Amino acid sequence: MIWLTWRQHRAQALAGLALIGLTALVFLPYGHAIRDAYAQHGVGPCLVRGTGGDGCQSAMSTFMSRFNGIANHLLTWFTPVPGLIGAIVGASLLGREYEHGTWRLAWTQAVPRTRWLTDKILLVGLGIVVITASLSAVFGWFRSPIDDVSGRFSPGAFDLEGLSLTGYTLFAFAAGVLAGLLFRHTVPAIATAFAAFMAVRLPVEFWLRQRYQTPATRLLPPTGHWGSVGPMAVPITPGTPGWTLSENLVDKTGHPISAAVQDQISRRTQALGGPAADSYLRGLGLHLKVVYQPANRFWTFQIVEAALFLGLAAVLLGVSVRLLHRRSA
Amino acid sequence: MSPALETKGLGMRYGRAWALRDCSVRLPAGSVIALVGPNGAGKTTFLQLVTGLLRPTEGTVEVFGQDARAGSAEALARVGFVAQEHPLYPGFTVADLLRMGRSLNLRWDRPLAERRLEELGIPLAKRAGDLSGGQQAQVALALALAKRPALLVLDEPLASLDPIARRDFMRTVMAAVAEDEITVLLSSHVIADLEAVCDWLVLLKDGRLQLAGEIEDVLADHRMLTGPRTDDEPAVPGLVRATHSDRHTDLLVRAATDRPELHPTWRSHPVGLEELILAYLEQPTEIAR
Repeated sequence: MIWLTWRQHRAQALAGLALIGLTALVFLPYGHAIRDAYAQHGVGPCLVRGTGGDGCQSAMSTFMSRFNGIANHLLTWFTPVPGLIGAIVGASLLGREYEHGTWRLAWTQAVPRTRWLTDKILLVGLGIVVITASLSAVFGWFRSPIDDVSGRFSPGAFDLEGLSLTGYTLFAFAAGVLAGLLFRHTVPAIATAFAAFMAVRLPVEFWLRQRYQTPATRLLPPTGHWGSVGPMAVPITPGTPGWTLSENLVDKTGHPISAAVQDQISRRTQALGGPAADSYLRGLGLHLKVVYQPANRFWTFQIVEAALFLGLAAVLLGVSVRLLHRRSA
Repeated sequence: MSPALETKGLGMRYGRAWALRDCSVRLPAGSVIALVGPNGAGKTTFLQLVTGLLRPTEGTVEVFGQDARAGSAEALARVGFVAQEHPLYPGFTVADLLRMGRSLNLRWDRPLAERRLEELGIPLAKRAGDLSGGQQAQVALALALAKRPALLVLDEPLASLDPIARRDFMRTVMAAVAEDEITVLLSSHVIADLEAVCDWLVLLKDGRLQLAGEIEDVLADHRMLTGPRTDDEPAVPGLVRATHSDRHTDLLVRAATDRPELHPTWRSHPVGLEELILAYLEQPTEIAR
C-alpha cells in the first residue's frame, strides 16, 4: 500500500514540496528584511522596556505600518489554500477511482477495501502533516518579529503558525474524501469539500475562536491612544500583547460611560494630544477597561482549534470508511 | 462435485429497482460458464456480487464455500476479476501495474505475468493509457491471472475488442483453463463468442434467472417442434416460445420426451445454442416464470 499510495499521490506530494520551496524562496529573504528593520527601528529594546513612551510607540507604529499590512495580505490569500489543498487531495482519493472505473481493479486485489482506504488516509494524511507543518515553520519564522509586536493572535499569525494550518488541511482533506465517495466525481467533490471547509473555517475564526476561554479583564490608567481593538492592534500595555477584544473608558465604579460623553471626551483628547490627553482623562477619574485573551493562551487556543478541526476530520473519515464498508463487502 | 460458486435467493436492489432478484444457482468448479443476457439483464450486478464489489440486498453468494460478502483478503485472493472496459490506471506503466499487483496480493506470479506480456509483445515501460484496447484487455487479464485465482470472472471481456483481439484474449483465457484448471465465469451478450469455449450456461433476463445448466444437457433437454401453422397457443407441456411463419409454427419446448402428444405431422429436431438462447431472451418474461 505504501508504494501504491506514493505512486498515485506522488505528483501531489511533489507539488506540495514545490510549494514549500517556493514559500521558503519568497519569505526567507523577506524575513531577513523584516529583521533588519526590526533592529533599525529599535523595536526590540522598546518591547523589553514595555511600551516605553511615545518614542517607542511611534517606532513600533512605523515598523508595523511597514510590514503588518503585507504580512496580513499573505494571510488573506493564504486562507483558502489549506482548504484547496485538502479538498483536491481528498476528493481525488476516491473520486478518481470512480471516474476511471479503477475502483473495480483496486478493490478486487487481495486488500479489503476498508483497509485500502484506511491505509491511504493514514499515508496521505501523514504527507499532509509533513507539508503543512513545514509551511507553518516557514511562516512562523518569517512572522516572528511582527508577532513580537502584535502577538500571535492576529489571524495572520494564528492561522498559519503552530497547529492550525495542519488542522485546517486535514479537515478539508477529510471532507474531500467523503465528498468523493458520495459524488463519485472529483470536481463536484472538490467544490463541495471546499465550500464545507469555508463554512466551518470562517465562523470559527470570526465568532468561535475568541470564546475558547473566558477573556481576562484589566483596568488601566486611561490613555489617549485607546480605541484600537482587534487582534492586530499595536499594544498599549506592557508585555507580550494578547488579543484585545474590547477597550472602553469606564468611570470610577467600572460602568461604561455613555456614548454622548464618550464622543465629547474623544474630541477633547484629540485636541489635546499626547501626555496632556492622558492627564485630562485621569483628571476625569476614568479608567480604561480592556477585555482580552492573554498572550500566554496562544498554545491553549492552538490546541483547542486543532482539536476541533482534527475531531471533525476524524468524524468525516470515520463516516467515509463506514460507508465504503457498508456500500459493499 | 463441490461448487465453485453457489448463490441462494440472491437479490440486489438499487433504490426501488431490483437489478437482480431471487437468483439461486450452483456452478461447478472447473467449468467455463457463460453468463448471457441482454443489456440491463443484471449480468454486471451478478458478477460484482460474486467478486464482493457489491453487497447483496438479500440472499447469499459463496465462492468455494466462502461467503463473498465477507470481503476478506483470503476471499479476494481466490477471485481474479477483469471488469467491463478492463479499467487500468492510465498514468501507470505496465511495470507499475505489475508492481501494484504484487504489493496488493497474497499470491503473485510475476514471472507468469511478465512471460504472458512478453509473448504478446506488450512493453513493460509503456503507459497503460497509451496501449491499444486489446493490449489493455490483455494487461488486465494478466493482472487477474497473476493472482493465481481459483475463479476468474470476466465482465463483457470481448465487447470493446476487435476480432483479432477477441481471439487472442480468449486464447489466453483458455490456456489458463488448460494449465491451471481454473473456473471461468464470463458474461457476454454476444453468443457466438462463447459457444466454442463454454460448457455451462447461465441465462439472465430482467434480473431473473431464466436457465442454468451444462450446455450439453440444456441442448438435450430442448427440442424444436415444427408443424402446420396454428393460430392459438398450443397446449404443449414445457413450451418456451412459439413462433409463427406463413405456413409453419415452431415450438421450442423443454421436455425430456421426444414424442410430444401432437399430430403426427409435427416434426421434432434438436436445437442449436444460439437459437435456444434467442428464444429464451425474446420470450415475454411472465411466461418464463
